[in-house]
Amino acid sequence: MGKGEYLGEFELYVMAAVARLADEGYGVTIRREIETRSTRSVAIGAVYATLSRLEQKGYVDFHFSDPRPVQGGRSRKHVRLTARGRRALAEATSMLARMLPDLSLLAKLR
Amino acid sequence: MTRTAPPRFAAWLLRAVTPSEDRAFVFSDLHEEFETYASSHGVTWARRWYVRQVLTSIVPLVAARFDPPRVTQFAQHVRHSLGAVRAAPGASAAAITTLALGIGANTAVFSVVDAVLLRPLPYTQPERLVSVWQVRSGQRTVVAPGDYAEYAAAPHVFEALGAYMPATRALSAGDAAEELPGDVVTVNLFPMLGVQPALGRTFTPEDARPGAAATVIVSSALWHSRFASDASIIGRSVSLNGEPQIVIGVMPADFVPPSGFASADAPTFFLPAPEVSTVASRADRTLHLIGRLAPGVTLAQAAEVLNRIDATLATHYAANRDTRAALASLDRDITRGVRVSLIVILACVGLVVLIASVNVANLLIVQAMGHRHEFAIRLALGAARSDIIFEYAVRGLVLATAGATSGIAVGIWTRDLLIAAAPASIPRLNDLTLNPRVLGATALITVATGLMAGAIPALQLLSDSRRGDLNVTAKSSASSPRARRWQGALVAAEVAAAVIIALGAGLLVRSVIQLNRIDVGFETERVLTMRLRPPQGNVDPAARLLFFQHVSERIARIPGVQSVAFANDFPLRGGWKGKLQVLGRGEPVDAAAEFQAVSDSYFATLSVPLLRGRFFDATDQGDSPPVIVVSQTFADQLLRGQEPIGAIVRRNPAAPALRIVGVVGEIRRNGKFAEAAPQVFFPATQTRTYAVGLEALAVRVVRGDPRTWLPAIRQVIAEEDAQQTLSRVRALDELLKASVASWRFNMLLLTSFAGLALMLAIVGVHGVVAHAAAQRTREIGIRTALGASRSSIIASIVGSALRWAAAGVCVGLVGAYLLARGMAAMLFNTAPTDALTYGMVTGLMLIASLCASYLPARRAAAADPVHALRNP
Repeated sequence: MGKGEYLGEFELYVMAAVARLADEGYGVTIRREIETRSTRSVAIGAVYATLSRLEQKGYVDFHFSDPRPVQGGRSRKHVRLTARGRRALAEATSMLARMLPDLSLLAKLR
Repeated sequence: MTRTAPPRFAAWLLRAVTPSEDRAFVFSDLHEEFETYASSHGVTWARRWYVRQVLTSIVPLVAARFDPPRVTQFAQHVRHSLGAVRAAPGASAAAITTLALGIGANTAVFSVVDAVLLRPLPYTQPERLVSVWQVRSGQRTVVAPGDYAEYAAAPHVFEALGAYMPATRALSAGDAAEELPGDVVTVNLFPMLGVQPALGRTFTPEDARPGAAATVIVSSALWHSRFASDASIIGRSVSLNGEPQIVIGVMPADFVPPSGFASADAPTFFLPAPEVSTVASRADRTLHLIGRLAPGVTLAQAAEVLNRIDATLATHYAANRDTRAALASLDRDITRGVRVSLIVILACVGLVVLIASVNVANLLIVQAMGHRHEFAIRLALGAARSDIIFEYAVRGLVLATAGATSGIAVGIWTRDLLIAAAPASIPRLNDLTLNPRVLGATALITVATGLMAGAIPALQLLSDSRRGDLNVTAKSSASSPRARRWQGALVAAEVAAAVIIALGAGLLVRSVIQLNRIDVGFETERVLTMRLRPPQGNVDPAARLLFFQHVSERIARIPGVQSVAFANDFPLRGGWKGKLQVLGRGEPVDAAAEFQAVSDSYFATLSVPLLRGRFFDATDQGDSPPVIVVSQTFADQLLRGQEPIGAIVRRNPAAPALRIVGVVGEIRRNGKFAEAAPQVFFPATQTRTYAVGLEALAVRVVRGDPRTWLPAIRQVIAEEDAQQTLSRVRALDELLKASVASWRFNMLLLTSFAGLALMLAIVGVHGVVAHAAAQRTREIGIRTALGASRSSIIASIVGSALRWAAAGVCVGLVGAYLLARGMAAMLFNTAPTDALTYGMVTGLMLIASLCASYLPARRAAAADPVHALRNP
């Protein structure tokens, strides 16, 4: 990551979701992914705003699918991590692991 | 049947807040899930989910719109700007000081403009209040009671029409009495203005009925100074002009009566005017009218109705011929004397800020030039142009904000100076605060200044880059022609602005010089004048004469007193006018002149020179043949060709014949702005020849401030007659100075701005030329090595600077002409196209530009050519 800001919490979750979805995620699936795993409701607007920020930082980029073969079908905006983004995610997670003294502490913190 | 579509309002809201590039995707995603939930959880649940999604998405989407990267960038830029300021402390201090002066001056002037022109009057719904007066034979006059009653009775014009009349009364306290200023007001005036006394009650219609108890309301100031703020004053009786009045109210401390805006002597008491009917006098023009327009009535409509009434009155009464009512909104009327000058001053101070911003812009250009190669690299690597403009805009804003914070302090101090120095003719200069309007204006100017100062260098850099003038392999100090053109244009702009202000100042200086040249015809130095009034009513003229003669003799014996005179009144204070007939060869000629009844020593006291014949002397007593003295103007205008001494004049065919025994120098009785009208002087001893009372005394002292003799004078008068009230004590030179005070003030203000502008412009030109010359060291080195003389190099540098300055002067002269036209009302005996002033300003600016460019040119030309060639 070099010098610069740290990843925000939500940014981390979005990037993690994108990674999980194997670079085929888009708005709906990313949102659902975070919502299911966090058991908190997630606003689609927050997802898009975060994706926009991540793109500006160079951690993700977009590709657009062809319009779906149904009436009124629209193309989707798919997200994938860039190499920089993958590195940032790896660093953030390993940093987290280093900061937390003991993963079993997590269970106690609950 | 529930709709199977997402709620329309939520959809609209979402559309409004989502950035356009993502709109389609956000919508389709949300819709996709909506349909999934609709089939799994039911449409109602899905709709509620949809709304929840939209609501929780608003904040993140809107925040993203404002581009948080921009916010962090902003903070970064601010940090960098502060670093740049620290790195170049001298230049930055200069820039910030320049901005502080400009913004501070602006804040001060705007405070005054706000207080005088923008602030609403301290009454209820002041925008509906109007001032009503009459125009008679082209002159503005106040209104007679009969006409007032007619206007007040006009249907559907005024909600209420009130009137006031300034009056003086002697307030007795023990043995002494003091004359105080006050107003007689109609009982509806205070309710109409929406003001209430702080203590007691306001006037009611009962107070105006004939036979009602005599009541008075006092001002807060009088209550404090004379009645020790004693609350039991309500119901007490005080003696005004010897008559008891019951105090029924005390006005609040912040109350300003309409008569109090422009006068230095605020009214201290208010008496109720008796009821006025339409049979009242139409000839005694004494009333100032203030009305509140009825709802929905415009000024034009009201004027129309009143003028129709005027037309009717004119056919019935001779006094109303050629008389028309006129109206204006009250606050415009109160400020009509100073509106133009304040706006001109505001415009000029705006130009000063402009010059300050240009100086800062030039400074930033110089700094940017040093970073040219860095910019080239950034642009080549894909930095957005808007980023660079943004960065420089922030840098400009930082400097401007620093300038503004110190500028506000400068502004408050300058404003207080302004108010202290301001002539009494500027109304409403009390109780100034830094209100939101002023702060808002300051903030606006700061932002505009900062953006301009920052954007110009950025735009110049970017336009350079577009034309590929930026040299990526840097270190080359060859300046781009475009950069020089920008700087040259900025110099021209500065010079133009300075020319405009300087010309305005120059015209005012000339006006004041013209004013000073005017000789009023009498001495004003070391003369103290005062009004002496008998306690009540009329006194026998013979007794009055005797009183004044005794008092004069005794005062003349006081050490240090050079001369004493008495009269009905003195120049600069008042007098009376009248008609007369000149008898000579052929038919009597009708004429008009200014009259006064004066003691023998009048002419000596006021140093009015005797041109022919003699002054009054002991041979002119009450029973001697009636004589008069006239001024030279009288002889020139009214006695054409006739020998003045011995000529006969009379007031009217029935009056005694008056023989002229002397001619004195011309007098401008009403001061510098008045004409030298024909003057007629009656000897005070011949009381039968004049109809006014002797009321004024003038004492001329040998040296120093005549006021120091006041206690001695008071004592003599008190010993002679303790009941006399002494009032309106004024030194004549005070009165004369006060009459020209506003001209002096405007001149001082504008010359200060011109000085500031000139200074800033010189600094600007100097800086630009120095920088441009530094950029051309290589070229200069080559030329020197090839044998060019130092003076030719200096000439070329100075020459190019002068070309820009000359362009600025040309543009400036056009702008100056427009300003001069707008300023015409502020000028005295000076044309807006006064060639001398234009010539001098042009010369001044060119010389200043010459000097400002000569020094850096000389320094650059003196550079060692070997050194220059080696280190380009």
